[in-house]
Amino acid sequence: MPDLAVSIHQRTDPTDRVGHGVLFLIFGILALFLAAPLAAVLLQSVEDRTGDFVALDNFAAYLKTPALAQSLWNSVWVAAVVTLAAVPAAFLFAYALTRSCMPLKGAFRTIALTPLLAPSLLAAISFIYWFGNQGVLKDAMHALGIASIYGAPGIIVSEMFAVFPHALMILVTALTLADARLYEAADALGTGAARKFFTITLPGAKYGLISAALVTFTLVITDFGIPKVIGGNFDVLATDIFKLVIGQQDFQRGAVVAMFLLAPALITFAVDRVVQRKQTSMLTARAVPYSPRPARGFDLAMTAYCVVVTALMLAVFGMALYASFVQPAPLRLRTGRRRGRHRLLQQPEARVRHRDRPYRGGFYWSLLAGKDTGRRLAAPGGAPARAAADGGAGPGARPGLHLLLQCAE
Amino acid sequence: MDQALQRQDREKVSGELPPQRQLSYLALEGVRKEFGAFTALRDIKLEVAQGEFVCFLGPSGCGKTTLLRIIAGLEVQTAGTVRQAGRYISRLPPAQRDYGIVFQSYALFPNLSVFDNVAYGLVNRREPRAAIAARVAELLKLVGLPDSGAKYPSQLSGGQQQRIALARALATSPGLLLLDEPLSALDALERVRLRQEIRSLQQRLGVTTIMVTHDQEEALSMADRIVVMNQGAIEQVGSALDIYREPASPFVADFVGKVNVLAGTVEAGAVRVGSTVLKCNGLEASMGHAVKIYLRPEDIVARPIAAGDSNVFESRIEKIEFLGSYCLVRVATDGLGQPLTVYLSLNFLSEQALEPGSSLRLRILPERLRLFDA
Repeated sequence: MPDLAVSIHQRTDPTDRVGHGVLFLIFGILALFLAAPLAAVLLQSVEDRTGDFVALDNFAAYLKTPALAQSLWNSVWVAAVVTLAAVPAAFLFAYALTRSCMPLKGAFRTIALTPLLAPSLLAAISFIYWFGNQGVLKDAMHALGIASIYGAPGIIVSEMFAVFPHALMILVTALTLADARLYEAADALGTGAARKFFTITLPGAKYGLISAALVTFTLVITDFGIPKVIGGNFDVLATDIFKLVIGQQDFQRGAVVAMFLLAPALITFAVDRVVQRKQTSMLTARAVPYSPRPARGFDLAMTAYCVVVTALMLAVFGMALYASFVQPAPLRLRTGRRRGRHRLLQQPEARVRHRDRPYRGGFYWSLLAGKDTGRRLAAPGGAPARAAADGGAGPGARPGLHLLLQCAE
Repeated sequence: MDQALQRQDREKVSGELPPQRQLSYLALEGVRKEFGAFTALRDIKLEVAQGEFVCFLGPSGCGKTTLLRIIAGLEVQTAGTVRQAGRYISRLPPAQRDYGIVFQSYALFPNLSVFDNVAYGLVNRREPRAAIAARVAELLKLVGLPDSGAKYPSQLSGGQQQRIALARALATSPGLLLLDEPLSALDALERVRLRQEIRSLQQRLGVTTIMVTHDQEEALSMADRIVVMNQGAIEQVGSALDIYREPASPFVADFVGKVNVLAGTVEAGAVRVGSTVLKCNGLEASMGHAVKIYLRPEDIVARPIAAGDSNVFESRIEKIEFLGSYCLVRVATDGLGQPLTVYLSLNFLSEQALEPGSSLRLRILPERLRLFDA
């Protein structure tokens, strides 16, 4: 008689062993490149300059600084405004792509996703060309009652451009999964379009909307490039880190700010866990995929909306592309006035050299800057400062967060 | 109470019509459906009487679901008309037609409670809240789930979800109930139970019902009339017994029930199969005509066989498939030149101590032979 108390372990299949090995490897890489830097930042935030443990003194001191608290508020409200504007805009775009029979869906989608390929600050640069002090459409902007693009208005429009594709990807996935039979059941029960939207479409995309909102908020609050380029005197947390760490060599307070920037990621994670537990499967294996039927008025309206959005995107991209190939006159004029704020964008010595050589586009200078950056990064001791300058844990956490949310779908 | 309610609703829909018109509550005329080059339905003509339970039966891809969806207005026919309660509904959107539908996948709104699901159609009609609550309570009682209003669909079993879907479809007291393979997603036991429930509910309410199914047992046990469909056309319309006993085509004979198919030629009052001559009642085909003979397993009997009976032959048991109280037995015959499948009761098999290899005398009932052109 076998002893029932002894639990039986199944032997591991050799292929599973390989899988486990790979899993351990990934875990190791994650620990080394994500957890360890995060721990380092966390450690910095509870130490003073001499390396002694001071608990939460750094946080207390930080919150008492009026200027820095202002940055915290700025970061939060700008991120909130962008989220409230970009997510509905992306939702409508995703709705057009998935629920209408408009033509050129592939083209609209491709154009709307292109900002993914560019660094986020590209939008900011482009908006400076359009609306900056020497901008092409500066007068039109004044007519709208906006005094200057530098500051919150510039950050908000640039961030909207940068986060749009992120939100769009999540929302397209959320809206693609729909059970046609629910709509048919509603039709059979004599349901109006608005009620169908609020009882079927919106609940079905609820978790996608939450994910998109969280991703958008996190992306905006942790973004460093756009506020740096177009923020003017409008300080946000991400630029504060740069100032603290690079400008004042205050790693401790920089780490405190980094911890604040980590909060949205943690909140996102927590919300995602709750949402996942609540999420009941909208789709069963027997569901019939929804396919839109042509409806002239609706399709036309959706096409018009997508044309407007993609035209705006092309305008932003077009200007950046155009600017990269022409003499950087507006840039030079602008940097003359606001030198120092744009150290990252232009190498001063390059600008000087530029005066001697008459025709060289921004494209050339960006290559030059790239070469220079490579040289600096290769120098020993550059790594920690660079990690901090990148906005603490923000960008590092970003890809992981994305994966997390995509998996949760 | 239910009956009174239904009758009242019926009058609302078709009260003005003269009684003879009500005999065909639903009439399809020349309905055709093409998907590109593919013809899904060709010239469907069908009438359904008030209060009747009709099954569309056929293999997958025969067009039965498409026909149901055309009646529901979820699909638009290429040609033809649909008339319901004397009203041409061919071009009306689903919302303006008078029916309730139950889907195979239940299609309950997962984010709404059971109460809100059942109330969905009533809310669309802007009925007063108290009336909705009373009607929902009544329907939940009707489908045997009176206390489940606050639950969500995911908390219910498949059979319970389908009952709620039925309640939702009946909530607005429609004149026509459409069931699109409502039982095929359920397990065998639940299927049989709900089958009986739906049938008795339908009879109690007297609602005209059309059910689509590919399960012949379901169709035979539930329907007043069965519409057998194949490749976009109606093969036969008739009662369950008609369809089974008097199949109008080889397809129907083959699709509904089990069948032995023998090849033979017509002789005087008989057909020759291999070296055997089988007597056949009511033979119409001309001499020498090649035919196919369709025989149900129960048309071949092992007893009683009296001396002097015709169509008696010797056979040898090849295989016994145990099915419970009876067995499906395959026998080899020398005279017919091909094996036959017969039903034998378990009692008979054990009584006679029959097993594979045993020999057995069998008789084919002459009135049961169905002949079709070869």
